[in-house]
Amino acid sequence: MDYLIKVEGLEKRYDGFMLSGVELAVEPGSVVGFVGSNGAGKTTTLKAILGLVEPDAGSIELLGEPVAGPGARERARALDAVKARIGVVFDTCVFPDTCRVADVGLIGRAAYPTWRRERYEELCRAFGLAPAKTVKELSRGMGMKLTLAFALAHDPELLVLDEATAGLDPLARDEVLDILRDFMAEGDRGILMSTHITSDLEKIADEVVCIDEGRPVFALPKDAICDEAGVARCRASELDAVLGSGVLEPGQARVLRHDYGVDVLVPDRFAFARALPQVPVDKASIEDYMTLVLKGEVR
Amino acid sequence: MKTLVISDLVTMRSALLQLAGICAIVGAFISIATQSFVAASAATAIMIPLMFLFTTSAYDETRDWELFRLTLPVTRRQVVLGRYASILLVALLAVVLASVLGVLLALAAGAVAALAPVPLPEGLVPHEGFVAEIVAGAAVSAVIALVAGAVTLPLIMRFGMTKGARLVPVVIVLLMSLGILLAGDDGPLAGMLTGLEAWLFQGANLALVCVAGVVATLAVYAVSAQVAVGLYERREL
Repeated sequence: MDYLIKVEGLEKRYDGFMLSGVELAVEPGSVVGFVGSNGAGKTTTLKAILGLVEPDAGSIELLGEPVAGPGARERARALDAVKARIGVVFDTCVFPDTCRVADVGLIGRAAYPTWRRERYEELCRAFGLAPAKTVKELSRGMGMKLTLAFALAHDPELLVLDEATAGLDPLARDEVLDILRDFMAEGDRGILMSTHITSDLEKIADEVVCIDEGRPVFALPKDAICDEAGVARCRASELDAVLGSGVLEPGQARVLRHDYGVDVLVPDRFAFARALPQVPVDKASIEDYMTLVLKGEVR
Repeated sequence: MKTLVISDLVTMRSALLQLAGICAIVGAFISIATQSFVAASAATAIMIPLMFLFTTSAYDETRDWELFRLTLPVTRRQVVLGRYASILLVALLAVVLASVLGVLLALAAGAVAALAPVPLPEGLVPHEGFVAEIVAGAAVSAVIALVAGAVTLPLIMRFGMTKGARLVPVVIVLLMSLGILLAGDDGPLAGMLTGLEAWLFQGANLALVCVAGVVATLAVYAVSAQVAVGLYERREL
């Protein structure tokens, strides 16, 4: 299997919103971060991948099985088998308030043929989740850990996370990231992780895919953003010289003006520093890169 | 389908236990107010499945549970059929619970009557065939609950609990109006109803009607489930 997830030309139309031409791929052994502003279409894309909404066009392959596109309807049963190999985490603890931690295990046992009761109990113990506690008694962080324990106890090959770390404090987020690193330590597993907290992706992602207003914006290895790219901090008076230096391709530069100067997105900060040593250039974070690409003026 | 039945039952376990206690207390009051144990068991048997239906449907809309459930290895068809199966199961359990409650209340009242100087009303004293009356009352109520479920569930599956529950009264009023139109004084079925009561109590007619009623209800329930499957499979969540 070349890809755990392969999305090509995904389209979905709603009143006032359209997802168009979305491309996305998760290879075995990789963590793909999925970013974009609110309403960009991330959740709709994830829903389409998980077979929760029917795409209007495009193809989606999940663990090698087509779940949309030609022939997908006939493969509804195959989708079920595929879903048994995936773990999903939403941005809240989804289980009803009255469920106890042990009850959630009963649901998992009934749902997944590969459910491992001992693994679930071991994860619950490791996360400090008492079996008799009800969902409504859990804090947000503990609720997310319960959802993660549920998602991991059937040994999935793929995790799909939709804002799984949103609303968690930094310590809890780090704990969740540790759990995800442990998950990735075994075999050819993969994670697709939609999030607004781009600093989490800097710690764990291999690739970052960005969409905006339903359209793809960029899909790059994380290292191309966090190691190679940079943000040149120049004065307004230096901008023309920077743009005319030949280091940046005309029509490809992204420029963001602010009160104290101008930020310019630089794809290769080392080459830029060699060409224009007098202009300071910082490493780009995923947030910097995304902000400049989405909000920057094209020059 | 098993996944859905189990998830419904574990979700509702504490609520069902609470409701069983509430039913015992309410049942005692209803028995005294109506001077009949049949009314108490009938109320219990209808209250439990309907409460189960509306509460599980409400939980579906809480915190994306309904959406998340579809990420499990279950089809939409299984989700719907699982909900119908769990309500049917709870209706059967409610008949058992309501019957036991009614019989226990009747026996307790009988014991009190033997000791009390004031005679109790006839409906509150165990008499010949009182167990059958209590069980039949509970069964009829459960059947009514299933018919209500058959009307309500397709709407909830199509529109969700919030919007679906708003449409339920509209559909019930329409069905009642249709019934009045057909069986009212000038309706085409008016003549058929004349003498129905006398006919019912001839020979085994009542038993036959009861059996036919249960079979018809289960058939309506099954048709409703198929309709709900079709509606839920087309619903955008």
